[in-house]
Amino acid sequence: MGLTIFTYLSAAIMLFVAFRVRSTGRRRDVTVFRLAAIASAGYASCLATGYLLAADDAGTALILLRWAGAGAIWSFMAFLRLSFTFPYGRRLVLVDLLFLAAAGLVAWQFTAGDAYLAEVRRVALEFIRFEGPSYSLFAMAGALVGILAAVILVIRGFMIKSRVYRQQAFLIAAGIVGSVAFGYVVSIYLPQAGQNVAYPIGGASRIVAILASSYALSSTRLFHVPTVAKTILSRVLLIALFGAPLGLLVGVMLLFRLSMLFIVLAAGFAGFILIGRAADRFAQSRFGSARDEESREELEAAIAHIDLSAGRESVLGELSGILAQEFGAQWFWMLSEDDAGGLSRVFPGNDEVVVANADSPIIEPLASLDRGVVLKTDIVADPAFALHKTALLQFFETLGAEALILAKEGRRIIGVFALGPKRSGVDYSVLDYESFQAIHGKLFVVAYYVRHVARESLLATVEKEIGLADQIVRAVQETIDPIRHPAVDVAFVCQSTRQLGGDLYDSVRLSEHRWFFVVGDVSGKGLNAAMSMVILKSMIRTLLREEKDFIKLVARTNAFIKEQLPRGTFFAGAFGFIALDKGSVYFINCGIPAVFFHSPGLETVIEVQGDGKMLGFVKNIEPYLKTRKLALPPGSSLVISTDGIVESENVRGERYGKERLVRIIAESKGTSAEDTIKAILKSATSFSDGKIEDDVTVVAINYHGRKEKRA
Amino acid sequence: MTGISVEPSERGKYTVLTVNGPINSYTFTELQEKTMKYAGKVDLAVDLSGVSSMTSAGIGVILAAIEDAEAAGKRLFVVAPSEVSRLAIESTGFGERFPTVASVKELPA
Repeated sequence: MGLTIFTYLSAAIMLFVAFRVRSTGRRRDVTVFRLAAIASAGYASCLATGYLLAADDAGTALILLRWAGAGAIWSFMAFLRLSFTFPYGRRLVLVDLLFLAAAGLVAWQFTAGDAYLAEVRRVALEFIRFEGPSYSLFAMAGALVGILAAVILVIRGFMIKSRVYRQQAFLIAAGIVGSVAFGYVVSIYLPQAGQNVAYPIGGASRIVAILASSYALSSTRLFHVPTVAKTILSRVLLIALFGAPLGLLVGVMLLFRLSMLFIVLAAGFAGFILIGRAADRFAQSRFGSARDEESREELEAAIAHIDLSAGRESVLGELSGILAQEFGAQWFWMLSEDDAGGLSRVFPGNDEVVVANADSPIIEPLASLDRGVVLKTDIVADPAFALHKTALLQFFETLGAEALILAKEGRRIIGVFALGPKRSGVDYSVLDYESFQAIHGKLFVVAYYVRHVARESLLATVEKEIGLADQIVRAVQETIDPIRHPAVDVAFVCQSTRQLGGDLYDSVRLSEHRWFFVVGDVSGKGLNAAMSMVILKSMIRTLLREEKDFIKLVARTNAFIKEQLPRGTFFAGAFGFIALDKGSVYFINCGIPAVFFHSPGLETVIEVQGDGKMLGFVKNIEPYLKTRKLALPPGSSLVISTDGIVESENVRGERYGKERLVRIIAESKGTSAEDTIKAILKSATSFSDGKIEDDVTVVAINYHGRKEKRA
Repeated sequence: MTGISVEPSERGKYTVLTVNGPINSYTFTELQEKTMKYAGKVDLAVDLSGVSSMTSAGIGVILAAIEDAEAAGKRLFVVAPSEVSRLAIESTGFGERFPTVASVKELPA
């Protein structure tokens, strides 16, 4: 019974994995693979059911076992068809018709008479199979079809230029050979050794080929052989260490005659969960990827410690050295967005060389990529790149690169890091890809620095051209999608104590009636805070494009501040969505001290920001975040302010405080948002004797409602 | 404009920085220079009992010092924060990120 359950389970798994493989871009290969999986699942189900019925209904059992035999051959025939045109899945009408005819012939030969199987019975726990005169011939033919498919795949693998397709061909071939060997052991060797109780498990033999093929067709990157070896070894050890106690548990249950199926299954499941968790913890601590993570952290730290004040050549030279040492790349280039919107090579060499103009056919494919790291093998084998495959491959060829790391601000590409082939001749692997992903945030900071700051030495900028830097930062600050809508009147002010500051206000239009906005203050002062602010603003815009979940968007912003921005950087502010069609504001308080709401139905101004946690203090802030919703009746207003206003002091050391702010907001009832801001600034400046000692960001939102639409 | 004083002294294994005055965007560089000099190199205590006001600039300096110390495996304690500095620390929502003791006598050995 247990073996039969295993066979049914394998049928379900085969169907599941078959339909998990994405068919985009390789529809024919995947369709043929799915046919193989369906035939394999049918083979497993018919075989298991057939042997299950052998004791009580020998007639039905015989029919099912004959169809199981046909299914076994069909699955290998499908693999043979796959091998003919792998990896490009061409349509061959004549060949397909021949395969169809052969499948019909197989069905007829297996099911129409006693040639394959004459009778099956079950006596006690033994299965007795009366094989037909052609049984051995059919079984041999089936195995040969599978082996032929594997041989053709191996030959094609050697002929294919793409290394990732070669890897796929070899993996599928290995899976087929594994299935043939599995089938031989359980269907021939064990019964010959007197263990014919193993017959039902023969139906599960195809799972090796199906799992291998599913994995192969989904893989777009080359395996890192030591990692694969380590994974296999760890799994074997896990089974030995943790599977044995589970087996012992089931054995003890049977010993105590707890042989009822439900109890065995329930206990087995519970044991699987409990022991599985223990095994997982053990694997993580003993042979997990701790060492890889350590190495990645060191790499991240090395990049984070590059001194950005040393000038572009020095920064990129140091980065090149780090990447060369870590990945063994033959060469490293950096492309940066130029003023015309194209990409120019800024490293190596002092002169900027245009690699792609703004109207180059590569710009759009790069802009549309939704990932920051791309290996050449991805472009070749990943269906997700099918739309722009030619242009992207040509870009890789033009550069001679094997890996690209993209720094993007929304759809704009601000920088591209290109790595050439490895000096060792080995290809970039999954492990390299994961390392690239780990350092992506750090490289983004470098790209941003190169694009916006490093055209002059940073020190020189600070000392000689602070005015220019101020202009750059102001320009970035003012680049927003202003909230312009008949239902609302919005005004804001960002004011720094010095020329440069970390005050941040940004709004992004999401749809006709909806905007995202962020208000706050990046800690620190002067150029450092300003740099952090512009980088953070870009990153929030990039994350906004990628992340649909509001809380996760804020959590990812927090992780970026904590891990990528200089130590001690934090952000106090609020993130919000305003839905003007519904008259609602959703916001997350991340340490904003003042959000005041004035409704026409209320005489008083109320404080609505609630508690909030600033970003940049802990790695994972998600558990601390709460989304608040505020309904905006027509005529209501909202004022959001950073701490600069409420904490400003006069010469006597008195604080401006929230009460004064509330009074000014109440007095501004009926005025425009712009006038409300002016009144707040005037009052606070006057209170602090003309000198507010902190950066100030205030946003005022007056909601008029949707009366205009109805009019 | 009122300035601050940041005076270093030794107490056992600790270097104690005693801060007096307001920590704001005009004065924080003094504190930053001193904390950068010691944080992560020695066990450090920052006495904030004499701080008359503290803006986010001060929080940023102390947070950076704590992170430097953590990265280097050294200790950093905030000592006896004045009411305004305690409120500033609590306003972050992460008061627990600032290891605090009531007086220099309570610094762990």
